[in-house]
Amino acid sequence: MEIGSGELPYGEVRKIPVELKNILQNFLESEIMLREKPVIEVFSTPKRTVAFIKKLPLKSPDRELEIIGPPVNISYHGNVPAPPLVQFMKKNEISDHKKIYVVNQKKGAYTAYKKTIKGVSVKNLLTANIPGLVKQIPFRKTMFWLNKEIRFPRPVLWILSLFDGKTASFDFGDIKASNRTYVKGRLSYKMEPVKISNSKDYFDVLSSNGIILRNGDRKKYIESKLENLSKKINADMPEYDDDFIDEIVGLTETPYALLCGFDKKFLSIPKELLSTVMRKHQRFFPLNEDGGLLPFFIAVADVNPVPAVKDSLENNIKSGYSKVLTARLADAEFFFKEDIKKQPLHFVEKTKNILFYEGLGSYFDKTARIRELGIFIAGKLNFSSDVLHNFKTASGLLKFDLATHAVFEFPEMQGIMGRIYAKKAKENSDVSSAIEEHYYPVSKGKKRVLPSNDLSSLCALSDKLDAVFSFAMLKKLPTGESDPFYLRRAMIGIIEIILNKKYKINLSDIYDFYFNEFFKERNFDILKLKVVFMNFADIRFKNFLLSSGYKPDEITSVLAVETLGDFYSSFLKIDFLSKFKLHEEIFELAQIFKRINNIAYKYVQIVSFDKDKLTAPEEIRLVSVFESVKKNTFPLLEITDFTAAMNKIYKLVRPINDFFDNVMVLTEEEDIKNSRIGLLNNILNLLKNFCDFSFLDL
Amino acid sequence: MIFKLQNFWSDFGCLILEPYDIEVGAATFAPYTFLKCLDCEEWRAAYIQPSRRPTDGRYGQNPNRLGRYYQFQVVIQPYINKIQEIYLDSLKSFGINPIMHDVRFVEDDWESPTLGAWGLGWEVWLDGMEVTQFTYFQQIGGVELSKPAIEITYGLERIAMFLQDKDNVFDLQWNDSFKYGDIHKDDEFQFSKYNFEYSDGEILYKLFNAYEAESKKLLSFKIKELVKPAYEYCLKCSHTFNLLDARGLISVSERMNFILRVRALAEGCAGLYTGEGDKVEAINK
Repeated sequence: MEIGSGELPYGEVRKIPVELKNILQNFLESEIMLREKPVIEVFSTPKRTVAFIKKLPLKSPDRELEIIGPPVNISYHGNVPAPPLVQFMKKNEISDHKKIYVVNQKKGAYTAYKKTIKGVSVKNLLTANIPGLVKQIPFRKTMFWLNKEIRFPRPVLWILSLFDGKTASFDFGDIKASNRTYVKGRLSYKMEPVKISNSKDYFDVLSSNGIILRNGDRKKYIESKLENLSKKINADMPEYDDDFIDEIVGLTETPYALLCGFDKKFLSIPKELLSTVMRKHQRFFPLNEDGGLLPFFIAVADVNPVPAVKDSLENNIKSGYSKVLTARLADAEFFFKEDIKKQPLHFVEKTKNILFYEGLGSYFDKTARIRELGIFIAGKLNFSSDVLHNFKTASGLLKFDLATHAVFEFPEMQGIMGRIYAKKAKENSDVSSAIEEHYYPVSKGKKRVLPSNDLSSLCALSDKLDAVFSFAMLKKLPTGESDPFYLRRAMIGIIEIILNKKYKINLSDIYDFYFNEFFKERNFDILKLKVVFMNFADIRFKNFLLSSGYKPDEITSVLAVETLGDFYSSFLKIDFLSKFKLHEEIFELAQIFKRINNIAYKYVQIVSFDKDKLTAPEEIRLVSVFESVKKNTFPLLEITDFTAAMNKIYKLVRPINDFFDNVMVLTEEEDIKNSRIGLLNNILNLLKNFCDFSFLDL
Repeated sequence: MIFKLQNFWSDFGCLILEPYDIEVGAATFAPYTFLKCLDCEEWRAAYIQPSRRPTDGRYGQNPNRLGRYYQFQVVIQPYINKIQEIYLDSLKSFGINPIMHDVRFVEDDWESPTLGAWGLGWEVWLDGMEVTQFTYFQQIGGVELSKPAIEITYGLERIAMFLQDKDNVFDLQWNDSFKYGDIHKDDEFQFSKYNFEYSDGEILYKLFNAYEAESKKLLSFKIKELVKPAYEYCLKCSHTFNLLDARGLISVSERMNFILRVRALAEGCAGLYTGEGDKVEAINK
């Protein structure tokens, strides 16, 4: 089946193959009990939605269905069917009452009959159901054109439907399915009908008209052309991400790549700006040679010219594309030249008038907060005075480019233009890079790119933390699907930087500093908000760890006892546990943890003990081992040497087991009992400095 | 080009109309589209509509931007199956043979928040240049159309620049002796000057309020025979809002408020015109 329609949005072209295939598969599986699975292929181009199903039988197989009749006790007079059974037989057209048998149901014994359901014509089943199945495709937006019940993203123009070589007709609104497809005439722009007799015929007709049905094949074809054309002028293979090329794949059914050029006078504009104009605004591939931009680009048209018009068609398209691009580049050049007439400080001043968000001040105010916050973080992380010095300059320049013409016209250039303009104004390269990289981490192709050094990381952390804290204060943390201020993304960025750069720092401290310093005049519950923030951060951290392959129990056992938001140390511990979880030591520590917890969980309030009351030899030994272990473990935890810390704590296992085997904790004498429980709780707390072993799945 | 388009669409069966004589931001605003499409009957018309976009004015200095330009509007109701091909025929009528160019229909859904109207459709690219907006209207003035209408809007200056191979709109030859610039460059300058520098905010606010009040009053009579004057005042509101906007007098937070005030009038008119007034509510689309 082929549904021909007005050009579909590329997003729909991209999703149809997956969605429609699932719908057809579910339908065939639930409606026809097939012995052999049919092979379903779905293709899409802007004009065509195509489903091709192989290995379908003409008729669905017969099947048996057990139907339940009246209860046995009212069904017979002796051996003869009584009225309720007679009724049942009549309704189900059963002539021979000997075929009735008895089944035991929950409510008692019932009569039953095995009914054979005859197979039906698969062709009829399909033609009756396809209109309904097409409606199930989850398109982003649909419209109607004549009949309100019939919707599609654009009007449907024809439907080709064949079953076993014959037309399988059905109606879809104003369209009657036939045995015709439509392709452009050889020297015409009109779609002309072509009769199709079978699937091979169909695929031949389409391919002889240059139509590439499969999204993946169109992509490969375009990629091979990119390679050929770029080689022609010794350019590097163009770089692009999946979204970009998929959009072009979704905009063409007869892709036709062309090498075009533009005036090289525009090469004086920064190549990042030129490339953005080409990619985002015209969907052209910029071309580079050894990192330098060339005055050429590759564009993909949607034509399939016959030889007679090929050259003049190519010339028309090339000159049209170049002209459109020239108009755009002239704009970009104008903005760039205007911008570089002024110094960054001129624009910094202007950011005082650009609102960051209602209630959170201007971007100028924001950079002032970033500066203080960053200085605090730099102190905690013992950054060098060089980094600190550069940070004081960079923090003031992070947002100035928002006031420039270039970023106003091309918002996606934020950061990049800042870097370029700062460099032109003779800022050092660390400072100018930090302006771009404070928006990192970003995805480039399939890679995550993080800030390259401590300075950029500090700028990125401070900017993102300011966003999360301040929007949290306005109660704007995302709850449902939508995240209009990209706060989840910001939080994940914070986590990625902390882990990647191995920053041992407590989010809790940063939070306290921030609200001690800023928004003091606001009336809100700082402690309550802290819980909300830490929870928000924790969830992102957990998800990040889960997606990196760590197990839920490893994560929970560590995070359950981590309250300060030191994500780097937590990460190391979780990583340690995932590697050592199955070692004997961890297993035994978990055993004693549980053993202690079983008794101590009722007495959490008892946290001290009187050494003098503990007189049994096992008690004396346990106290002394505990005290030495405690003294030795903390420094090891502090430097995150978890192997050594585990080995230290492990020394407790024997004495504790000896203690439990020989000492009765819950004795009648209250003060002895309390001292024993106090000791156990102390040990438990020491263990919890490692992790909550009770969460581990061992 | 205009004569040829008019001939083409007249031959197709469109009524050829003259421009509506009130300032509008787009040909859709003219009652030939806005009100007539609400009838959901057979309606085929084509007309030129000078369209005003005060914020786009550039004192006649930018080669591509104009504060006032010409749209050629075709409106067809109900839907016809072959419309895309008929549109391609129309390009051929004034000298652009589609087989010699890369003509693309690229997703561009149209929505007018001030008119409470939306539809799905395309922008048409001719060798990479956007030359036409093509829309299947689903809703107008908050009223869902029982018969969707097709709207085809040609950007005449763009197409003329393409045909005459000109980089600057003011260099277009209007005829053998007059250029587009001879006719309109001074208009662009004067109206940019007025719209950006000299218009009187206080007066514009007063005008907006007065036009709105008059439109509301007319609507309040609930007499269908007064809907056209009410709609004209709605159009005047819309244009006055655009003037205030160009003068930089509409803050971000006020903006939505103004748009909703104009939309309330447009929806009031659509409701009264169709008799579905009580059912009409603010659309969420």
